[in-house]
Amino acid sequence: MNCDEIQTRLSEYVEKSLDAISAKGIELHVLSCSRCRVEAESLAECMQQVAGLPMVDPPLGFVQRVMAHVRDIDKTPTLWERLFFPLRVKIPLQATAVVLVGALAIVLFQKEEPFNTQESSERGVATIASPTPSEKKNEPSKDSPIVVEPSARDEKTSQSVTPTTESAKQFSQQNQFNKAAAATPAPAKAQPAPPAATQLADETRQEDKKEAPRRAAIPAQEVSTSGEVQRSRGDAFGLGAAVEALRQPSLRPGPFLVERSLSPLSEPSADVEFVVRRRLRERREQKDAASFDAVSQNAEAKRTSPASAAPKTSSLTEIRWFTVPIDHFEQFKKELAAEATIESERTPGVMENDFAQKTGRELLIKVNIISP
Amino acid sequence: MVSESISDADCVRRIQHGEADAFEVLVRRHEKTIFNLVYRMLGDYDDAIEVSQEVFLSAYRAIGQFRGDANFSTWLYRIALNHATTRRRSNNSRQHRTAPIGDMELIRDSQPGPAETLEKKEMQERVQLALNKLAPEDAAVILLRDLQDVPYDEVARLLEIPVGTVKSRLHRARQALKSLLATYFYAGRKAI
Repeated sequence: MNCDEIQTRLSEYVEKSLDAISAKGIELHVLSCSRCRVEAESLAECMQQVAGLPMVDPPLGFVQRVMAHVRDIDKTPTLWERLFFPLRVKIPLQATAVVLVGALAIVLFQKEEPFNTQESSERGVATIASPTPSEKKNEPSKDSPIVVEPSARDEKTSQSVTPTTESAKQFSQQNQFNKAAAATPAPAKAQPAPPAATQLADETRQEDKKEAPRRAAIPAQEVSTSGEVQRSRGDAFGLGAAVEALRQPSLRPGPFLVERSLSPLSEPSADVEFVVRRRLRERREQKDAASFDAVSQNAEAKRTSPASAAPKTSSLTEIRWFTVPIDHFEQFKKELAAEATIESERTPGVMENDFAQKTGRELLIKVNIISP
Repeated sequence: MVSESISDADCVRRIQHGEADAFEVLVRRHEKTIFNLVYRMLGDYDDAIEVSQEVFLSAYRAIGQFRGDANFSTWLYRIALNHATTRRRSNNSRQHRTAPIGDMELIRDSQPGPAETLEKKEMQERVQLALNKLAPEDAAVILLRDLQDVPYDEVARLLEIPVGTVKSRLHRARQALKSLLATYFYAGRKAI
């Protein structure tokens, strides 16, 4: 064995953990090699120094201190224990809580669904947009410069309409088309479209949605104090839904009645203010029978049936706000007169009216609806 | 009251069955070895008190997981080494942030006393400082073998390394310690 091999085993030799033969071989080498001998001596001395380190006593009361902490650990329940122990008490409690939360979630979910539908219909926001060149191509009626663009919420609502709502929509559309036909001779495009044309119209609608952010839209916003308002496409002023609401024999207060009602402080000054009285149901139905075909009547009957089941609140007065372009005011008034009895008309802001005519601003119309 | 004569395994069994007082027997039995191991690993008495306490509390918390495959003392040593190594590393990083201590020079300037006592004390302090300078795993293997006289196979089980690796690591650690103490040994021999 050479010095390097000896030195790797020197540590074991010094602590006498080698077998007798190996130990004897190293011992012979160490006696003859001064370098390895010095190395072995220093190593032995080093080990001796470590072994000679005195044992230090832990402080007095160390055991008691540890045991005090141990008892604290025992007293403190673990998270698991806190959650589940005692099992016979906690498990039924937790099971009950889970069932209650689940039931509450289901109830809330069921309540929220009609509420969302109602909210989107109550929102009643339509934008009167100046048509872009691409829109002009696909307009259903070129005579009407107004395109009612349903908001995303309205689209959503129209997708999830109940049969009753669909009937109302059909009725409203039919009403609008009839009126348009009576007023001006509508071109062929304005007629109820064949399936291919419907598809084209749907595509146009989708294009309109995409292009919507690019054009400057003027909002024609209706503010309603209460009642459910269904807006239909093709309704020039968004009036169809509002007028539909006028027909309702009773009003059903909305969930945001207080929120939606305008406070005297926040109420804007209207350019024109109407006081109208709702027509009685019989009269309205007679009129409807004269003007609409049997399909429309069926639709109407379906539409009004839930309302008739609603609680009577005839004493309520409803206020509705409309913004209408100045040149469509007469048409608006005509439609309003067709659907309700105009009790009074007030134009408090004549000066503003003139100004609006000059500047092309919309008129702000307030309609106070009195129950029959 | 639990008898002091019962074995570690019995104590562990009792503790696992909810008899916390049995742990006191184990603490009394192992406090000195654990405290000394931790103290030599850290080189600071106050730190050793704190860490030893943590060692026993950790052992108590984890005693449910002790299956009795190894000796309780081996298991306790492992916990102690883990805690001491962690503390030592955090202490080292703290020391690096503060001003370094000129350890060897400071000891030479320590207070005079009776010559023999002073020399012995000085030597012990040098050894402790040298141990502090070693890597924690090297210091651990030296302390287990040379101070605590733990057999090779138990050291291997404790450090979870083969016996051969323990021997080679021990040789390397001793060489490193010898190098750190070389100046002292040389001076000592010259004086003689």
